[in-house]
Amino acid sequence: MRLEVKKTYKLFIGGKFPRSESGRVYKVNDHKGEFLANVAKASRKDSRDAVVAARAAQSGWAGATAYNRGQILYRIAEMLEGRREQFVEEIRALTGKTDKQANLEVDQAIDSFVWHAGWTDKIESVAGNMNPVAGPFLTSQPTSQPALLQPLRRKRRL
Amino acid sequence: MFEYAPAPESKDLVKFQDSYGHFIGGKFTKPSATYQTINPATEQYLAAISHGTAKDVDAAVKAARNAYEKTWSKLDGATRGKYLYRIARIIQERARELAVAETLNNGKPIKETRDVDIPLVASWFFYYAGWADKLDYAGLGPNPAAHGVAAQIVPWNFPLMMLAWKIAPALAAGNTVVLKPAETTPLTALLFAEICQQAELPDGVVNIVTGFGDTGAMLVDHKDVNKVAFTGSTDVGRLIAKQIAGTNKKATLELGGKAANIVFEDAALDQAVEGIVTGIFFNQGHVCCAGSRLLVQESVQDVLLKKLKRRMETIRLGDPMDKNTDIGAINSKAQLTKIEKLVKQGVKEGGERWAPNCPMPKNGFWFAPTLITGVSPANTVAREEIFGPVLSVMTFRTPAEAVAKANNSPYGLSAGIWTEKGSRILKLADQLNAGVVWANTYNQFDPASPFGGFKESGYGREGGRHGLLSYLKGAN
Amino acid sequence: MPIIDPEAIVGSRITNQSLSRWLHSLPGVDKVGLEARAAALSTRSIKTTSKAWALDMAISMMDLTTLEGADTRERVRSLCLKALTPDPDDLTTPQPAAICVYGDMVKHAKEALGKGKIQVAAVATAFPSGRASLAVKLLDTKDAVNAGADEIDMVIDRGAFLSGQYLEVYKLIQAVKKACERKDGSHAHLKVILETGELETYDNIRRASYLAMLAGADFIKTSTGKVSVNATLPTTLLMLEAVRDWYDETKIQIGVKPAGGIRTSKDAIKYLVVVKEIAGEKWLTPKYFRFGASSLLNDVLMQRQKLSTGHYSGRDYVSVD
Repeated sequence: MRLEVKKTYKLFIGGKFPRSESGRVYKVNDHKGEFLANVAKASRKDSRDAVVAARAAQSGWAGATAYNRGQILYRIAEMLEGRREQFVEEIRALTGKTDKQANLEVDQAIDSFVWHAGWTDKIESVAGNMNPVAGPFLTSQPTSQPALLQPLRRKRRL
Repeated sequence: MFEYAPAPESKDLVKFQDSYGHFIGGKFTKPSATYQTINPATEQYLAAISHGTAKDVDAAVKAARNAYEKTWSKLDGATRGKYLYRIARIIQERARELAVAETLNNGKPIKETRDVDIPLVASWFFYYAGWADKLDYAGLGPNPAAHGVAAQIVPWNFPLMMLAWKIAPALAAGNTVVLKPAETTPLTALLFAEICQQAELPDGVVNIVTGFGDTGAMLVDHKDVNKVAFTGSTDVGRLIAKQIAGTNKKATLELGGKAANIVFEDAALDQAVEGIVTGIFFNQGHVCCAGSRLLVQESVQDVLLKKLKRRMETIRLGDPMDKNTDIGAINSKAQLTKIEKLVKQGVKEGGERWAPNCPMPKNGFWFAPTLITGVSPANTVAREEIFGPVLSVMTFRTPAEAVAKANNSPYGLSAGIWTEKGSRILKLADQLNAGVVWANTYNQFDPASPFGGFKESGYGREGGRHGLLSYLKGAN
Repeated sequence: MPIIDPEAIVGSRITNQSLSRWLHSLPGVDKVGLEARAAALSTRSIKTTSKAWALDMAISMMDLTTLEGADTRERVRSLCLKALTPDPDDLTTPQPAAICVYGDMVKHAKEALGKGKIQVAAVATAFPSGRASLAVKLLDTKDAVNAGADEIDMVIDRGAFLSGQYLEVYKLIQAVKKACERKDGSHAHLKVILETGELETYDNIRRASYLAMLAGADFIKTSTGKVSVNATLPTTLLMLEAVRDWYDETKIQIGVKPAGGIRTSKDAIKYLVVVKEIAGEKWLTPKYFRFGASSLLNDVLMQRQKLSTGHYSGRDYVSVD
């Protein structure tokens, strides 16, 4: 019997995978209540660091060509498709979904990336703005940085 | 002396078959009624190509119709998009091979196929892949319909790129296609057919029928074709328009041009020179939107021409497979003859001909980058599209005169404006009768930008949201 | 050697107003177009014999540089010995054109180099900022010349330039040119550093180039290497256009030196391509084109080694200097 190498779950900030600066973790159990992993428990400082990293990266990302951004989003779809099994397994472990349901969720995630990859260089021609009388010739600007809070089933704030 | 040693790209990046049939219903047919296709830089034989007959055309249209009714129209947009993304990816993977193939069959420099043609081909498929599931946003309301089967005829100057401009939007919009590449440049289209197979594109969605003008005419004429898309000469475009008049077939035509590249006295002169060179010598001048008329403000004519001639002396003409070559071969003997004839006419009518000293290879079809100065609007070389590396030079005194001369043409495809004055750019862009106006640049293409002309340069657009509309019902 | 007549070129007496009018009448530079040309020339493929030629030429065009607060006699001596024998395993390697040091290190460089072809260039005029009185800047120059410097790399007054005080800039260059004169009638060769990173726009760089040439520069140089933006290919291309057009107008040939940020052989070869295709073969000589560099030499040596042995070289096969 081959002993599996278990994965360590850390934060993802600024392109790297750090542990929480607080050193804290919390236990995540599978849907049956069995231990799955000790996951990094982000602190306020970690959140701050994440926002700072996102802000620092924003002008570069907005400055990339729409084509380039689309290519990167499509690449994410490619990689997600390639690592499907890993995600299916983790979804099933956490939620108890069936194989079919879990695969559907992964399908939807991948297809969402493909959908958005195709939008990057089309937004302007659909939602752009030009005043033919006196100008100005406006291009769309990105709004600020949304912070995404993901609700858990148990309503615990991350 | 800093001489550039030969820097050849490797020919064996591509392996052509001895002979090719047509690509119909997902398979290659047996080669028949073959003719030879050559490398115009060396006149060497490359492969045997089939000359499409009425039967071949009919089989292709039937396959396209079948695929449309049974498969393609039944797929959701997201899935169509994924096929196009696959094709785009494979084009990127095989980019170097395709660049070499295009250079060998067309005669244009590897530097151009590698850095311009093939990247644009890939980007066109990426761009339109993203539209396939967003047709609701095209501007025609929800759920717009495709035409059905599209007959597409592409020219020899940008063989694979023109194929991409045609096939990507057609498929994204839900049509199936039969495409006929130009007789002298069929090879990259046939490689593209292989790519369709690698992408597992459903049989019959894309069909390629090779051949001559008669093959194209039969395709356009076929009763079961809903849409015709043609890029080529205005003369043939007119014939096609006549052919389909009175039928229900919709058409887009991308025809000829005789663009004015307008240089004002306050232009950034050194960059304007680059723009002029790109405008007329890129792709050996085989470009419909080429800046083939230089309109220079009289006060800076001498300075500009001096800079231009000095710049032309550094253009490297020669083996297209050499990475340092700037200008390659003329695509065919026929085209070379036409260019020579028109230039002779230009001199006869009073123009002064100048070209740098260009050593030319013994074999192949070659024409040195050439200026004809002292041209007036009434001259043949000011009016007729030469489609070669020949620049007709005229002067103007005021902006109004520049506009009048620029617009004085049956064509209206493109124009260039060179000035440091922003307000003048905006004003003139408005006044110029050209579908594409470039300011302080030239020959910039992008799949998100609609390209097309006014007047005898045709109608319809390729690229952008507007390019998509060409392939949907209700947009005309 | 033709002599400039500034008034004939500008068309009137030299005043701030006439200089301003003259400089502002030069054609503008389109940034996108200029950068596109530089990028296009970067795709030239220089291989085999042409690469070997270019690598040797690059070395012979180098001003091997050390400009650190921590420079000492031994540091300078070590660099000079490297210049004399760049690659002890391959004595066919050419020598760089010059060593470039601070004024007070000139005597150590002269001693270490002995009598030979390698020149000693000294930075002067309160390098790199140039912020000091005229008297101090001229004394800085004179000290270097008296210590034996063959070449002087001065900095223009960027503050004066950016605030439109063209006459100030002009007069400083003329004064430094005078300070380069020696008692025996010869003069130290003057390079004028524009500090293109601080001038920022290409229009400014074109104007500063013309101003420097009018005032008597023997060379125009891009940068001190001490700011965040140093030599770039488009900037150097622009300056080569300036010296080319100046030659057409005056028959005076002025050199160009990009400095700072040129680290690899690939970069150096791109510059040589630009020299050839923009200014022409006349500038492909250390007499009219230099590289201000330090780490570039080792990269070129490794490339040379690869060409002669067929194997990729490594850090252990070139000396630290």
